[in-house]
Amino acid sequence: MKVQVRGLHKRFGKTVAVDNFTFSFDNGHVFGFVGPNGAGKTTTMRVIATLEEPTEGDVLINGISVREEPEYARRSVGYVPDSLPAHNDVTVHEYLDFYARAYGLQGMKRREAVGAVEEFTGVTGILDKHLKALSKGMKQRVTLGRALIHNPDVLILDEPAAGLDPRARVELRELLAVLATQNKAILISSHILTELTEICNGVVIVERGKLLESGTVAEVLKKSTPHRAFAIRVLGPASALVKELLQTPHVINAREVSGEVLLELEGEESAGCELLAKLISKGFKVAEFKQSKANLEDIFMNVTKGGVQ
Amino acid sequence: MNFPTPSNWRTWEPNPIVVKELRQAVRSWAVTGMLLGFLVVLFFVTVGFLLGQSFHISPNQALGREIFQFFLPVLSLVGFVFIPVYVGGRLTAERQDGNVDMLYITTLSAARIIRGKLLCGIYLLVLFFSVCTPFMVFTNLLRGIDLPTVFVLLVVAFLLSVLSLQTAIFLSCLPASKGLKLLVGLPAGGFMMALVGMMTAMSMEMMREGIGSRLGTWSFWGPALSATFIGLLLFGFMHLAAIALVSPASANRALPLRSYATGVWLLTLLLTVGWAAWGGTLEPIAAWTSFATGILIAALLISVSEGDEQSARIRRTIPESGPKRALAFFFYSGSAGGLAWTFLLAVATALWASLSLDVKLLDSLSMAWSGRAASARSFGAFSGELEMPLSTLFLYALAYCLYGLFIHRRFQPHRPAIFAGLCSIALPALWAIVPNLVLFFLNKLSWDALQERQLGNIFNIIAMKDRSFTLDHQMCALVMVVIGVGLNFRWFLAQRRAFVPLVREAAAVPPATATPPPLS
Repeated sequence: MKVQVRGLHKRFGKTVAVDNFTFSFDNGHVFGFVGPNGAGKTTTMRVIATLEEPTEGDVLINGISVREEPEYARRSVGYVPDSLPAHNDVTVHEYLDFYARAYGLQGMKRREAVGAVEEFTGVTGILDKHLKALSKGMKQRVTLGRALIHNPDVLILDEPAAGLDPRARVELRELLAVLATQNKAILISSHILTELTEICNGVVIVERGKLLESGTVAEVLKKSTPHRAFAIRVLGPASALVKELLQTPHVINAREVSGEVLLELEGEESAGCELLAKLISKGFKVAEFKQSKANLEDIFMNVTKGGVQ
Repeated sequence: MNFPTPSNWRTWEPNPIVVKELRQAVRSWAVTGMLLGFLVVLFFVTVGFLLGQSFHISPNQALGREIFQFFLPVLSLVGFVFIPVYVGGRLTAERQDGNVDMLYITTLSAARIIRGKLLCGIYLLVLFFSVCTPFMVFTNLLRGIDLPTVFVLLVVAFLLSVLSLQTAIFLSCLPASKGLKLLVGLPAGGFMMALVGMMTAMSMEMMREGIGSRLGTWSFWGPALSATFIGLLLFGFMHLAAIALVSPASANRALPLRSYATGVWLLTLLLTVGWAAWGGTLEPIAAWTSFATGILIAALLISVSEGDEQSARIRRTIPESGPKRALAFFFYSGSAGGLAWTFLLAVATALWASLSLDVKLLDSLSMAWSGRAASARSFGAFSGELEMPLSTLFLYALAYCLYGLFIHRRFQPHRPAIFAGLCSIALPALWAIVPNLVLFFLNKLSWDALQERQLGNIFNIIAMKDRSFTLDHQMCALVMVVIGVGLNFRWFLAQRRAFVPLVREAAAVPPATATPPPLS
């Protein structure tokens, strides 16, 4: 187990920023960390990155406690904060070289590490440019490079896609997918949930400092939406179909929306097949019958209540 | 310290902060512009003086001194003001934005960060001094100044510049906003400017007398070594304090500072005793006691602002064995330990002062050393004018700190620990102001009223006219301390009991969070 967050609490004066968070994620996994502003995401990430000490609880990184041995724990962590680098008067190469030195890399090892990161993040063409002259997307790449310079096992990314244009977002997503295949444990927070859906295989949902759900996307989906959602389009009036569906066992909440009938159905996947067979046998001319796939956005909307602190 | 040695010179690499800072400095217009401007000034001043002299028929035997007198303030200005402001300003700016966070996440220690900033400043100083030295040595050829004087003045200027630099770094590390730092920095800047004036005045005096002839005498080395020693102590304190200030809150920030302060206390005590015994006078003891009391009052304020909770990181290092743990309690971060440490040092200071008076220990020492007794006048003066007021001042400070601690813990526990320190300052300030405000509104405020006995008013000890009131103040302060101890006694005992090594929990089974399959 790479990262274990255990009963984590963090208070700032009277404000409880994080209230008993418990979750874990392993190498090769990309965990999405979602929640509204003020939910405790950044605080949790800063605790994992050893920048904040928890009020209670602990985080173990490869078995090393961030409370007791932050100096050792941080060797395994790469952290990309939600702010971009502020060293405006240094070049990209100097910036990465400085952090390589700061992590204790020396001589040839350092040169190799810096070269590898520059190549991986695609900044080789702008090595002599000052950070102040870079676009936001490029700065984000440099920040990611900085977090990777000591080849950490765990990568913590706080809103890395915020403010990036669509191309930069796609490129960042590709980089993260590659990193996941390199056996790194990745925790990423973002408000762009559709994007997380594409790269995450696990999710942690938080709100107002409380952890609401955590686990694989499929597990959380199952927990948050226990019923299967279907959309049916028939030739002829939909109202008759709605009437029929409402009398059918296991069908919940059938309604007509823009010519389609939306419904939720209890039971296993075969229940859908049985319903379709029944409708056809009753003479309904079914033109479309599709199961709606819920994504992270749906889960998020189902689980959270929209509260902020 | 990361220095190249014969065994590691092949693999040795400089402090990363130095590399970064110097890269930024050479690119900075502030540094290169100042260096160029500095060179231009030196060049044109030299040329100007030489041209001016060419119109005179008789040779000026003091031309070198005249030029040197112009060079030194310029160099001092750069060393005492410009470079400290540049390095301190950069550090302040970095601490305002997120860069420091990024440094904390690396394996660089707080000590290496501060050392890197200091070394960068020293390298810049060396650069400016290297530029200036040839010009200064050139003045020797123009007569009026000898080489030893040039050398000594350059060394003094360099050492003072390093001290100014460390001061600027310390001020930049204070946990305050840019505006507040500016407020603190302005008087510090003013002091640096005054230092330039003092340096100039001192150099003129030295040049007039000529240092070369005095280099072999104690009249030169005595004051020079004393000043260097005091400067070193100050430098050490500010260096350690800066490191403590940039260290994470969970680190044991008090340990190096309290160890250093204890060491300095002991060392200065021994030196003072030696000095007093050798000179047969109590003045050094009096000066030392006053200085130590001031430092201990400041230590009280810092201690109560430290907070109760000890991080897991600190508790991990608490010794298991009883005696070691008891000793560690005094030196580790935490308000209770800090108060106990300060109180212990204060008692030791008072005890030493009493010993030197009542047992006449110093007298015997003086007799043994210099064959003469310490002057009786000194004993009397020390006892009445210094010992009582100093102990009263400390007792008042202790009482107010205990009240501040109680108010924070009882009424505002959610506020940061510094609230206790602020209360400890606000309470005596209010008690000093409010009664006089009432007197003002009753139209009864006068100088005489201010100099009357105002029990509980810490400033009244200095202001009151009748010294016999000191005893009343001391009694009042003692009562206040007893009340303060009563209010905090249970808390103190709880803190002492809680000072135990961290008990590691048995490895718990990881929480039941399903782990997803790896991405394909």
